[in-house]
Amino acid sequence: VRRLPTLLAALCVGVPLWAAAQQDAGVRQQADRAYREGRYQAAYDGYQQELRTGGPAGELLYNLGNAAWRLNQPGRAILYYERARLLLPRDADLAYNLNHVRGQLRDLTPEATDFSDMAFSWLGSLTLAEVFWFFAAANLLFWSHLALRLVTRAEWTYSLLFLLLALWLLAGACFGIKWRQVSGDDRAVILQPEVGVLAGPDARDTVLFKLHEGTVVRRVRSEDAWSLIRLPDGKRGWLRSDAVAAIAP
Amino acid sequence: VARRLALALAAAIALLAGARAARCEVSIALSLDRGDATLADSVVLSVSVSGAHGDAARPTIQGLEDFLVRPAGTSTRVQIVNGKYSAGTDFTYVLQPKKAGSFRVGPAELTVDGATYRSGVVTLAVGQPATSPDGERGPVSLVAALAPARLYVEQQAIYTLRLYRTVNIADVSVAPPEVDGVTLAKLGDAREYQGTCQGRPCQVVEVRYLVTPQRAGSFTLPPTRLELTVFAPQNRPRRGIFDDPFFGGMAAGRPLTLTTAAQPLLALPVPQEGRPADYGGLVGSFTLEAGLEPQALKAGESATLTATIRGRGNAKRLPELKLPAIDGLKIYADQPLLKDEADAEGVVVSKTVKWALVPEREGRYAIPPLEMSFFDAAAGRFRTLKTAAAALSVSPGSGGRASLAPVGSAGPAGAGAPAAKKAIIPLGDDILPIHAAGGAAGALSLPGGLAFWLLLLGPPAAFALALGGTLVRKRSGNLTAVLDVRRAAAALTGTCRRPGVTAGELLPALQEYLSRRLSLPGGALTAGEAAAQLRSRGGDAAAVAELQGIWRRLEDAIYAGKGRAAFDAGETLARLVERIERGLR
Repeated sequence: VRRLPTLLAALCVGVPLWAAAQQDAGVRQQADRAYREGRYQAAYDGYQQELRTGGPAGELLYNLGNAAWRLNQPGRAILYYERARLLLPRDADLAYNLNHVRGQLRDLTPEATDFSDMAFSWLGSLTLAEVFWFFAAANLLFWSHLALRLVTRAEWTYSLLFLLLALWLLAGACFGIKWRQVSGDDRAVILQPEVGVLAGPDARDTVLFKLHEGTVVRRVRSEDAWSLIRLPDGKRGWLRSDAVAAIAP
Repeated sequence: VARRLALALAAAIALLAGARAARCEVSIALSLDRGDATLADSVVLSVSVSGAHGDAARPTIQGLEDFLVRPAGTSTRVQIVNGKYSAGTDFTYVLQPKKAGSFRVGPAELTVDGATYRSGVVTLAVGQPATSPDGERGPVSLVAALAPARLYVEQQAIYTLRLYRTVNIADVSVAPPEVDGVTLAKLGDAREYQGTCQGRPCQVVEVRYLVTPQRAGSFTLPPTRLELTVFAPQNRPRRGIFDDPFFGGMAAGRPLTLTTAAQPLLALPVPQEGRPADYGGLVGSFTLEAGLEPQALKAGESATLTATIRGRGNAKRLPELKLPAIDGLKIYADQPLLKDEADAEGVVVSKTVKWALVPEREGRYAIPPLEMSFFDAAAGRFRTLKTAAAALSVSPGSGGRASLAPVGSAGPAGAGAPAAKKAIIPLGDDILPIHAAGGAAGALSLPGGLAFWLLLLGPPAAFALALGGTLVRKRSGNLTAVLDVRRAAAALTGTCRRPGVTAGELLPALQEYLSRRLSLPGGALTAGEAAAQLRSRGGDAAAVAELQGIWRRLEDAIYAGKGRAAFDAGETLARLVERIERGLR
């Protein structure tokens, strides 16, 4: 009888959690089945719902990209693939599909990277979380070893100190650069079939050039309902903010 | 001085008030740099606003629906003439007519403080441009040509753009036409050469495009639009080095848009009549050559059969040449080599295929001719090309029956001639499937909030705590020693001042005090050593010497058997200890 309140509390907390997990799994499986049966809109909606409830984001974004491509929405396909790439940078299927969709786009825009991006391009194959945990481990090792040297000053601790210091500096630099890459990611994807890029944030301004769905641009800033974008070759112009979506969530 | 200052201040306020009043007189004027133009011309529209500044001065202009409008700059002016202040902003736009006709441009409108100001209206007549390349041209003209204009599906035509100019130009950008069902690909870089325009030398810039209709039908290549900036020659005497033609780029540039005439294109389907069985859609003009080298060899040695298709046409339809199996010959096909080179007439494509032929035994082997078919667009009929038959004479090899194979081949022994290796040809293109639920391992995630900062700052903070603890412990050890010394000194002075204290009581108390004070074992300490240590640590020299003397007196008393007798220098020793303590602090 004394344990009854504890049992009831456990049931109150555990049962809803279990039910929610079962429901999430059900939504995902239904979306997968809808995709395989060619009901791509239902699959798309299911993945969106699963994403909102906190499912494994990388896999869901990849599947969302597939569903968007099947729905003839190359812009959203690129958007979700690029978002998935932030979480699954080494996924071979994702890289293949992204290349496939890129190959079908109408606009040819060169890739432009700055020096630090080129020097640390290998960081692109790691997620921010992976780099963080690498740095956290190096951080723990380095400071623990410094603390150990308060107790003992053996010769081997002196040599190991320099090794751990180098590791700590390398991991810290990697984490800082990766953090900058992720937080400074201003890429956005054109979502409309064709959009005119204007000389100013006004529909009456001169059309400078046109972009097509799926093209990745850099968003410099936004004013009201307008966004200033730039291309790697230096072209700049304004377009309505609802015509683009930022890759970094 | 104060009076003059007040007068000057009043004058400045009056001047500013007047200027403010003048600024409020808003006016707006609109003008064109000419009253007639052609579709190939651009017209400069100027709007002059007085009495308003910045964005508030930007007017709205009516009647521009039939023009492409490009802002060409804004300038602000401030004038004080005969004491009258005026300020304003001039807006300049370049108008490119979209169609011929007569147009009314304006009025320009501006609203300031609730009042609306309007400019007048100007009229512009726009006529058709002269498009004949031999006709009268301006300093810059653009001509397009398509040859041939009547062709078969996937036959290649050349679309040529020529820009004739007698003045300096810059910022050239061209937008080639886009037609559904027709592909355009640029052929090489633009060429620039000297030409003749109405008997006068002029520069010609030529760009070529390869035009390929993808389906049958009647098409129209829309006009090509070319935008550029023209630097007109100045008709005034030279005034300095910057008027030299060398500095033509520094003259005022004028934006200009040129358009060509539309080009009709008729794409005919490739006829069905007379179509060979092996025809694969190749259209153009091609040749086929083949050669065998060497034509005589020993069994087990290798000969190479080389076939090359060369010509102009749709390269993606180049056929795959097939060499049938020949009894007694092992055949190894090499990777086909595809090449395309652009020239002024189009693209020359070639495909070279090589086979290694390895005879297994002696004899004379007939190499059958290779065949391919294509549609000769110039002649309007199908052609089948066939190479001459060749023969390979094989004499007996040194090792009898040969079983040679190229290095790296891995066919099963006795399985006969292995299948020739071929490049993998993609047959379709599609995305890979979705990832099913539960198929992937959980990925690392970034810890949130407190855990993130704890992992980053926790280790250095823990180290700082450990370091602080070590320092505190070290410091507390020193403090304990100091307190011990003070306790020993207090005990010694207390003993010294006790009535009837003996030498036997005082000497151990003195040694205990000095061993604590000097952090040395008391039993091994002599009076001389103690005095030396106290002096080296800053003790009062006179007091130390006196202490040394009392110590010796104490020892003398004890050794003389008077250790239990009262010692008379107790108070003196107490004061000496106090002096020494003060000196050492």
